[in-house]
Amino acid sequence: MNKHLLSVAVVGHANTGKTSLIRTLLRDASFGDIADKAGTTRHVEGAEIRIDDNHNLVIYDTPGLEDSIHLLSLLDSDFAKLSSAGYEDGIDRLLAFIQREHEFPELDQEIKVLKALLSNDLIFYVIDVREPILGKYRDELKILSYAAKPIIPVLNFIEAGEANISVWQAQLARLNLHAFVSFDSVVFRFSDEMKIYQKMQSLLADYDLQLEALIQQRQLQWLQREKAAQQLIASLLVEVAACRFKAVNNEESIQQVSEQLQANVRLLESQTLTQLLTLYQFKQHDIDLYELPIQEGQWKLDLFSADNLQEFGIKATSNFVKGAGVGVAVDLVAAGMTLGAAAVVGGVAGVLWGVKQRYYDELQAKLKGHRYLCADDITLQVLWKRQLHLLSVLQQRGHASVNKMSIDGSALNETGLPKAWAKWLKSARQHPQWASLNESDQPLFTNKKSALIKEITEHLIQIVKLK
Amino acid sequence: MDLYQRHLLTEGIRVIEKTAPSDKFKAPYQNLKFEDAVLKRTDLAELRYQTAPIFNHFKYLINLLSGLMCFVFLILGATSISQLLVNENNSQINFFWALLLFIVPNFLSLLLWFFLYFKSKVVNFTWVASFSLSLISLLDKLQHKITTQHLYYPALFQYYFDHRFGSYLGRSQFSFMSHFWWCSYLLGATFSLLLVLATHQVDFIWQTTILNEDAFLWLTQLLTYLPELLNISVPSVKEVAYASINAVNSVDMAQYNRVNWSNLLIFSLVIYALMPRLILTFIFYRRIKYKQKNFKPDFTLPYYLQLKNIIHPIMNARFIKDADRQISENTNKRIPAADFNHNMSMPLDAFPIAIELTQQAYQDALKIVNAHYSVKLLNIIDRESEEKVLSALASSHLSGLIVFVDIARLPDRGWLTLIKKCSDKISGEMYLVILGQETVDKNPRLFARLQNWIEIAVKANISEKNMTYIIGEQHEDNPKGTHEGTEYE
Repeated sequence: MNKHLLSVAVVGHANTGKTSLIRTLLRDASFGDIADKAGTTRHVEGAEIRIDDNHNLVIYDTPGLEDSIHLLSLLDSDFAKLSSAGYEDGIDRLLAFIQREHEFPELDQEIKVLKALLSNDLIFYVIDVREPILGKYRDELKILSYAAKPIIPVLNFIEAGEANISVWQAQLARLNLHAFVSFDSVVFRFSDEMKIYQKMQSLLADYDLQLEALIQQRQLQWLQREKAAQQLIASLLVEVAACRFKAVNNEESIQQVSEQLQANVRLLESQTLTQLLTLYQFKQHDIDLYELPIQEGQWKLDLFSADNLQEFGIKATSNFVKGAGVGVAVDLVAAGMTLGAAAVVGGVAGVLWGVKQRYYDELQAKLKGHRYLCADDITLQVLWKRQLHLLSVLQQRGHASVNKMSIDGSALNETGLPKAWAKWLKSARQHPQWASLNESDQPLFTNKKSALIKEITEHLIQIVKLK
Repeated sequence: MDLYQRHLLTEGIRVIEKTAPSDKFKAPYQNLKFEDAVLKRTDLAELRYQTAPIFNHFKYLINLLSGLMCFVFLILGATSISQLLVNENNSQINFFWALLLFIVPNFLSLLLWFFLYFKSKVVNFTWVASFSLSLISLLDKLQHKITTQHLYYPALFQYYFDHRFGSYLGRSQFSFMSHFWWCSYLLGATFSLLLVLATHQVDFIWQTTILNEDAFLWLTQLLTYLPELLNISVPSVKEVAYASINAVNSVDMAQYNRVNWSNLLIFSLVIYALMPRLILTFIFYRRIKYKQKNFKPDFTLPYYLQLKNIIHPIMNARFIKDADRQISENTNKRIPAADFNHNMSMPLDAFPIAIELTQQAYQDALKIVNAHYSVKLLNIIDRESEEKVLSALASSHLSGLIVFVDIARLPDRGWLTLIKKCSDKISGEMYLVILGQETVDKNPRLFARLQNWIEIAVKANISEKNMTYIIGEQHEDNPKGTHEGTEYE
């Protein structure tokens, strides 16, 4: 508490979305209580946002100003009359009113708001733009003006109240409030959040550096979160594509393995979903998800794919380069044999060793008439599109939303597949050891898996940029 | 425990927790930088997960494998002298063969290593890694009989192996091991050679079929350049030429030649083979240490971002600043669920007022009022209109009060205060007419709002039988503008 940077009081009429705004800024759906009725917030509740080791921003949620007409009439009558006794301006009126608070128990909520107005550096006045402009709102603004603090009107619910925005803007301009921001605590846009901090920056020049740090920090967090989410999606695609299960070539076994495959793919998607929700700080119950339809394809043994040949050192441009790597080891063992012989022997041994390690199971399966089942292209396409849609929904969801997110099928058809799609799948399918569920005893070779995940992530970043 | 080990444990815990970091390891992280907070959490989590003994075991295995291989190469180097260079049946050393056996392969191997090291993308060490993994696994089975003691043993093993031999440390690690083993081999050979030369009297010759004498002379001169600079006695050009024909010298001269050739051989072995390997071994040892010192988990991974949300959430703290004194009273004061009167009768001697009606709702209310009442319907939208209504009420002879409200508006304490002020001005009953555009049954939000109106009306002492809900004319659900059972007395 000793190191706070500045404090902001969020005020407004009842049910305009003050708590929702704070929840969205904090990415915390547990802050305060929200309900579609007046008088939900009854305490003045504060939340600290950490900017750095030395600075905090404190935001206070306040009860709604529900009886502004009565309050203003008192301030403008009983307390204005005392101006000859020393009450000269709005602040004096408010202070005098607060000193006599016990005389107005019916206005105890409003008195909390008045105290918050006077004790904070900046005021966010939240307006539900779906509402028409009524006298009580004008009175609220007049009361706020008595506090002589910088005010940022926050136009909330702009999606639903789009038609009223210009009317509210004109009304605010009449009261000399030209610097307002638009926000929607249900349909969230990160740029709107940034505008709030930028507007604070323009009104509080003394805190310019600290607010700039806050803006930078939030932008970095947003980008990191987005990239991490894209990594999770890329990783899911690679894991599922690499996932395969061996079945004996009879109906019963295939049925059993199919179920096992489906269960595992669904488990992987569910894990990623949980991670994405955690990353964006939502709860599992925020989403209403239908089950992923899964079809099984048959994994094809592709011993001589270019990708695998490279694994064995048989790259078109550098034959036996990999083998030469083993040649070094063989050189060490031979320690004195000629290099060429060692490299050749090493290369051949390397390839043989590789074939044995990598394809022993597959070749054995082939000989015994077993088959490998994996998720087919359609399943992977649906999985991919679902994740992209989910990410888009998560990024636009405010933490005050109470409706469940729905990943329905209709939105999925709009997303096209990347050009490198087939290449990604082929690469992943050729490396079953990349799927954690396959329990391979081979080295993980995370470099190559990471490279593929990175490539897919880069593609996702490009998609977001294009949007 | 140094920073590298703590970072390694942090990664080990990431491997164990897989996709979701646990929020069970609570501590005051707020005032720590994220990295320090993660390390603090690692210290706590380590008490539960016990990854350090597992990692120490893996380290021991790799060191053991490296040590065993080192010993094998030492023996190989030592025996190669007696097997391939000097033995009981042969008292001559072919200097050319000695070079080919120790220095030339070493040199070419260095070139190959150089190529592989700096062209890392051309080649990967997949099969070296696979081979090493198999060796370590075998060693583990021999050393560590029960491999399933720790629940996450295989996952940690995979991670540790990838860490030591993967992209971050792998090239340095392989280079270090390769140079170290060459050192062992050459050291074994050097000691063995010293031992042989100390205990045997051998003559040095050089023999070749396909190379000419000039090439060998040039090679020997190249090798003798450095020792001559250091004033070490080495064979002269003449002695080299004699060696090729195995000329017989006097006893003194022969002994002198043997010492010179021995000096050259030992010097060549130490300086041209062992020393570069020792230097490279040291360099890569330092490089590994440097990389270990600078090793940091990748904090941009989804796992660490999730962890950041747990230990450094955007909200640092939350607190109540001005608590509501009436909260318990308000919470306990439950208003029973109520319903409006579907067939409400409104008195004709009542004063109709509207509160915050939109134009459309006002028109709906106006139609009702104009049809049955002679009083002008006033809509209270601000303080001025409120005062006007209160004044009109005070001067009115009508006993009742009919309040028209819009279901879309939120009932609040301001409304309650106004109704109480109005009720003070009348003697009869109050009636509430809630205007809407659609039936509430199909819209849960509207239904809840209607309940809010009923609740606040009860607080304003309006009887349930005096409340009704009317659907306006414009809505398609009610094209004829029927009013739900309202009658006029």
